[in-house]
Amino acid sequence: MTGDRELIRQYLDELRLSLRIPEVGRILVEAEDHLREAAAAGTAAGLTETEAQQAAITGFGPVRVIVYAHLTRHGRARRQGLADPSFGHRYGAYHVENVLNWCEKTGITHVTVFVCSAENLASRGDAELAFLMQVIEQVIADKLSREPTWQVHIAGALDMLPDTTAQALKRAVEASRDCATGAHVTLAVGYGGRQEVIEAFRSLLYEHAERGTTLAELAETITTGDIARHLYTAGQPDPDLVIRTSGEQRLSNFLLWQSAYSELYFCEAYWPAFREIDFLRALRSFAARQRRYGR
Amino acid sequence: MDRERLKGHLDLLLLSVLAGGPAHGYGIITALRERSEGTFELHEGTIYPALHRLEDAGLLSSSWADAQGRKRRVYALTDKGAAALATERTAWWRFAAGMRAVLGGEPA
Repeated sequence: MTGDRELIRQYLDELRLSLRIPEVGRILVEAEDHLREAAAAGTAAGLTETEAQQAAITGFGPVRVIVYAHLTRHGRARRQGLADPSFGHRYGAYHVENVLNWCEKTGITHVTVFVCSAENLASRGDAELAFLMQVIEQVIADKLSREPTWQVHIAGALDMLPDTTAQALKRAVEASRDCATGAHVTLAVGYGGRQEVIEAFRSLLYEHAERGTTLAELAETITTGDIARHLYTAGQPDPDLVIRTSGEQRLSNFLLWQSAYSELYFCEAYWPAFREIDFLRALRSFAARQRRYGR
Repeated sequence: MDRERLKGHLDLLLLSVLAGGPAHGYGIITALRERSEGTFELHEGTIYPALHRLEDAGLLSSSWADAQGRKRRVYALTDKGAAALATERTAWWRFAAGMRAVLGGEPA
């Protein structure tokens, strides 16, 4: 069978591309066996081959649903105390690169990715954290260091991270320092918005303490610009758009200060299953809005 | 029955079908459809990640078989799986009896 009638082959190709990870072998083999058998049952019941293939695919479920179920397998297993969540982390890390490519295509030059929160560092188990850090080192830091097309910045408490991870992130910053594309990516690792504001205050207070400013003088003259100058993201523009994935409608301590006038977009898809079409939808929604900056 | 409501019970259904003997994914779906008389709607492909997870947990074992030139994965209940099924089944009946007692009898 050839051409557009081979729907099952097309479906399997799409599934393979969507998964894009080494662990996919078994689910693809099982999907093919399932779809062929379901299609055979369809033709036996009198459907044409194409109808039978279409019915088999519809029954099996949309690719994104299968991918999502596959990716969250470990997440759910974790809640039941059964298995480790390595799969989702690794794919999620690879996915950063995809999203940066989409940004490149659409001419977006400043991106901040919330890789892991300060709270994540405190609450995840040792083994999972060690794995997450390893993934950050191998996938994110390494990829961004090699042939950098994005200048890398870090937001977060590097001193809370294991040495090797902090080193890898610093290397990525160094390696991309002279990147000439004008594109900037900020990796928020061990990041918390409130912690960032506190750190900014602290740093501002120390600065003035050294200069001999009194607290009363500082209280009188302090501006939003004084705080912004001391944030992790000092010198970078505030985000125009914040996209929150995973169906959650909260900011979760992300860029608290910087997102004061940002447009917010919420998306049902989990991060690993966040597709280019979801990304473009977010941009379209953003383009249709009237920015008011609080006015 | 809608998909969301089914989600939490899929494991129990899968274990229960496999208590009747080893089967591959499509066979499990067919048995599920027949035994439930079409009550359950689910994306069939999502049972595979569920099967993999149950195997990771030691409740199922699986092996490759040959089916008309295609490779096929056949799943079987382990001893641990049979024990889990017995426990879960009891828990389910207790839960269902409680629900029934509160909701009151059959639908009008």
